Amino acid sequence: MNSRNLKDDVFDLSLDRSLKNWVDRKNPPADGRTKLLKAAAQQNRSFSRVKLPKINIEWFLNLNEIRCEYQIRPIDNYLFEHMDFLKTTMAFL
Amino acid sequence: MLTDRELVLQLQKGDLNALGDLFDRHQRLVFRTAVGITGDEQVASDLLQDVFLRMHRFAHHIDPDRPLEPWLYRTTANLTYTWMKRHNRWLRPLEDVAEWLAGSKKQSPVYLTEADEEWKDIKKAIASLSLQQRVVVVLYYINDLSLQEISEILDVPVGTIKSRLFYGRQALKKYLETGNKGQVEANYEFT
Repeated sequence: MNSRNLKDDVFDLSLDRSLKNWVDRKNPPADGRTKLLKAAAQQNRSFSRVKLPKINIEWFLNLNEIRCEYQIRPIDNYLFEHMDFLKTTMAFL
Repeated sequence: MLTDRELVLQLQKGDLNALGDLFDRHQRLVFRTAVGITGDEQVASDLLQDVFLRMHRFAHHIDPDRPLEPWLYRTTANLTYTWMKRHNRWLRPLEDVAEWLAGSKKQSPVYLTEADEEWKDIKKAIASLSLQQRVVVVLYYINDLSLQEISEILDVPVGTIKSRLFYGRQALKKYLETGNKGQVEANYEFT
């Protein structure tokens, strides 16, 4: 990414130099790395605090008795068939 | 010394030291770009942190086999865009008030050197550009990128980049050569 451009115009060259001199006078903070690593470690901790729900709640519509039923089961026992069933039911409704 | 590719791979495994090493290697590129666009050292420092925190957060989306610089430029430009859009409305008037309040002090030769005056003009000239022109001007002049590279980074056609650079350069020339200080004409976007 260091390809030079043709800046042959006098104004272009002057602008090029002035802009570079201007930003060269500014320096990033000396403690940038320390601050970054601290913030990144904090980011890691906040990611690990986000937990997936451990239960799955399913609603069933009992058409014969005209009432809703629901079932709560641990996420480990979650089966794709349940999702398909729900999708089908929702589509039907 | 490890390559960017090796450091990105380590970062993807969660190695924070790799992030620190990438920061040491590329912080000037990000900082210079952010200073050029915002004109504010403090804001550029905050954006510098944000860019590398984003790198940490989205490390798995970075392709280690591709050069890292375009990703850094793109992320810096995007975060700077967001920042400018959020803050531009109130920042400029506040700056004007601060400048007016400090007016008498700034006239004094003790506080004002020739160089300071020049940098102030440069900063004001850059600030007079539209945000889109400013980003292109900074990438072209400060970072020495070609029109093609800028086009790929910003995901904008080369013709549009050329146009933004042309009108941006014209506006800067007018501002700096005619001494049009404080009375900036509106910059119209042609593309």
